[in-house]
Amino acid sequence: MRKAFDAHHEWLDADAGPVVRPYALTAGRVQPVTGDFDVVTLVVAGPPGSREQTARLYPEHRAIIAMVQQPLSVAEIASRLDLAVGVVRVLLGDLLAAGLVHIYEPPTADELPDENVLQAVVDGLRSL
Amino acid sequence: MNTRNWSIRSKIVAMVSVPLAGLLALWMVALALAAGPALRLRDARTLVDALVRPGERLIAELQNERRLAAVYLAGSDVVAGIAEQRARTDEAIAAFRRHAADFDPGEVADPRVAARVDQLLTTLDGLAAGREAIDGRRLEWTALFELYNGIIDAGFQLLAAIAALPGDPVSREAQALVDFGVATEMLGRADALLGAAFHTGRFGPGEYRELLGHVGAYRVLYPRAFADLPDSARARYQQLTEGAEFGRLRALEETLLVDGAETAAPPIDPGEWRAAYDAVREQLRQIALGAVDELGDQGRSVARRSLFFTAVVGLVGVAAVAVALVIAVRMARSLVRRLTGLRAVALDLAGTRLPDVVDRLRAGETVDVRAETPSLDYGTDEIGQLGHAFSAVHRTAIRSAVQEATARRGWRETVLALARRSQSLLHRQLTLLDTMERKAAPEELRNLFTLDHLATQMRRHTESLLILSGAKPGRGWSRPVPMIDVIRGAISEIEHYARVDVDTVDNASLIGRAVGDVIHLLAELIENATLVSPAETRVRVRGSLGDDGYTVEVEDRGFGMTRSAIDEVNQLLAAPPEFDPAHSVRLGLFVVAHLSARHRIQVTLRSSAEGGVIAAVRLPTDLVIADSSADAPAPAAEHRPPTRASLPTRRPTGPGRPPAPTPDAPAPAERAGDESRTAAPSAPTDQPRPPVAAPAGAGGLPRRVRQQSLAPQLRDSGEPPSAEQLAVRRSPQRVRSVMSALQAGAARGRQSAAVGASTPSGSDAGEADRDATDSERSL
Repeated sequence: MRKAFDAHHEWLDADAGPVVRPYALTAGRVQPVTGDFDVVTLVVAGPPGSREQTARLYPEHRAIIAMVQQPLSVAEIASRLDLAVGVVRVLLGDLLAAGLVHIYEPPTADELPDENVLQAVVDGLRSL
Repeated sequence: MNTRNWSIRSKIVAMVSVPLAGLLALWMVALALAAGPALRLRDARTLVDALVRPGERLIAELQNERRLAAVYLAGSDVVAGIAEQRARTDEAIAAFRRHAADFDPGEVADPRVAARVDQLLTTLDGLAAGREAIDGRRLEWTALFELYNGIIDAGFQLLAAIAALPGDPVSREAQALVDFGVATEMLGRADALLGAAFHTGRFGPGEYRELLGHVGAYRVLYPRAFADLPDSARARYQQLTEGAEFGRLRALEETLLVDGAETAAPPIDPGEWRAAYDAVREQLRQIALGAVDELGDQGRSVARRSLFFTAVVGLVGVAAVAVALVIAVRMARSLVRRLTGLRAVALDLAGTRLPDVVDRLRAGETVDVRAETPSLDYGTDEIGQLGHAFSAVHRTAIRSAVQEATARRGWRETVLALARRSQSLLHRQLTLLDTMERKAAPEELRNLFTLDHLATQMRRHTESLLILSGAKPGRGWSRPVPMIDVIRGAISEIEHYARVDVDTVDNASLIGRAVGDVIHLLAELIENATLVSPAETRVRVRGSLGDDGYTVEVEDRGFGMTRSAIDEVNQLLAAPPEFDPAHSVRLGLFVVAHLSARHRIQVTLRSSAEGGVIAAVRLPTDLVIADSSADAPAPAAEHRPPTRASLPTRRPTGPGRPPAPTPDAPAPAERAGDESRTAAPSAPTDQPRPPVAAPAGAGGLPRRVRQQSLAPQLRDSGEPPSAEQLAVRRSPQRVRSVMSALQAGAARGRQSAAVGASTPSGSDAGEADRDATDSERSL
């Protein structure tokens, strides 16, 4: 019936799925240790850490650091790493706690300038 | 006497020796019986030669001497020939004495013969005195007769004793001969009396009566003897009695009987008597001698026959014994040889061929029962039947082994089919989980993680089943996988993954074909470590690259193992025994040993300084590729299916510059697929990178090195932009120009699309591109 498959594998390389399961990347955590990473939060790399810090980082951490030399949003990072957003958030939480990245939170709705300020800006621009 | 344990040869010898002994005894008895008469005949022959002939000769000469002595005593002065006769008699006596001296009475069973020999010799001693008396005429007739008659009687008694020897087949004839001789002696005595009477002219007192007695005696004895005489003697005697001289003698006898009287003159003529008597007597003597010879011949032939019979019996007996022995020995040898041969074949079947068939069945070959069972042909007797019985047993054993193997194979096939089905379902489940996890909120993510964990463990156990059954699990890798991922992959497959810490892991990659087995092996060891240590302790895993390979160490903080337990486990790991389902406790150990043996990986345990156990897994250098780079590749590379040597993927990065994430030249995307590379040295930002020779990729094709052929001025620097550079790039003026270019280009594009899609204005597109690239370059 399926004797032919004894000879070779059914799923090769990427078809076999990720070698490391997502929960293992985060050691089972689903929430970042610190910070609240919205999908549009921008992340940028901070100063490089000490040697021991770097040595204990996972490859994913290192990839994130390398990636966010230019600011990137969390969603971008997740899509580039092809990982779940939740996992990326946990990883970023680790990096943030270690001080290896900085985040720029998008302003919340109530932080947005109100209409008058916007109107003044428009007027000012038109007058340029 | 327990004969059970004797060898077959001894048993056959015992079986044969009893009747053989009996046969031998019978043979000896028969031989003795047959030889007896032969020997006795020989003795008789000896006797005949020793005593009878000289005895007969002695008697004859004595009879002659008696007659001459009687004549002399009757009155003549000189009797012619008496001296010669005495000389002849003396010769006969001397001969007889010689033979009697040589004769050994012990050879003859009868003591009478010896006694009578002595008696005769004794009577002979008186002869010399008697002769002197006769010469001096001092002897009376009666005394003369007594003298000679006495000796002659003793002689006849000796002959009679010899003739009467028991067991002598010719004794009746010999007896007859003796009677014949006695009869002839009676006739001689009558003649002597008549001779005396003739001389004196008349019978002396009592002589006529004596004469009558002698005549009567021989008239009785001759017919009696005649009956038992040998055939030729009988014929000759018959002839004699029909002859003329015998008739004349008879007539004279009649006249004597009728007309004779006491103290009267004999009524017959001496001359006639003399003539008739001499003739008949001579013939009688011849007949007697002839009969003796004939008897001797007969005895000889009987002796010969008897001896021949004895010899035949002897030879037949010896032959019979020899044949019996030979047959017994040959049969014993043949039996033993057949039995030994049968035993050798049976031992070969049991010790060599059956185990060989079982091994082959276990290895998966099919075995033809008929071909494996030779027919043991050892004849049709019990041994042959035994051989057939062995064959039958062997056949049955092979058949059951084949049935067992078939059943086991069927079972294995079933198990494998189920395992593969299970594996396929789990794969689909995990793929779906991957997708769901992408988009999940944290709370959902927690549950999904649990599901993922459970499904992964199920997949691990299904793969265990496949590995144990000798099949390949569904997942495989053709490209090397980094060791850090292999280790973390193993950790993710166990129950208590959260208790495992990963310490430093030296950079290296594991070649594709070993990835599945090593993950499985490490998962087994790490799970075992978590199970033997308390729940609050952590298990640590680290990887180090050495000259002899890559070593992964799994350390637990449990209570440790004894020295002997550690040694036992190490021994088992070094030499994995055959998997025995009965010992399922050792399942994990078996899996580890099996997998490590397959790739020549060394797994050893040792006690750790803190009291736990360290399991060291040494991967040989041919499985490991050492990375010289500092970083591990971006996970993105793992998820792209590489169908050939992958070109570096320049990912679109939006309004920014393409990132140059690592100091080294080629993008990390390539790292996952490389087997060998010449890494470009990290160059400082102000120096152009030296051109690097195109390294060979996974498919042997040259791999493009990023920015290698680009003009130095256009190349990106490797370093991440500093804060000043960032500030420059992000100046409002720049942002403004970028945004306006974007807006203009978009508006243009919309216009041209609205005008007509069929006539794409290449110039417009080119303009837009040029604008974009101009503004890009100025950044």
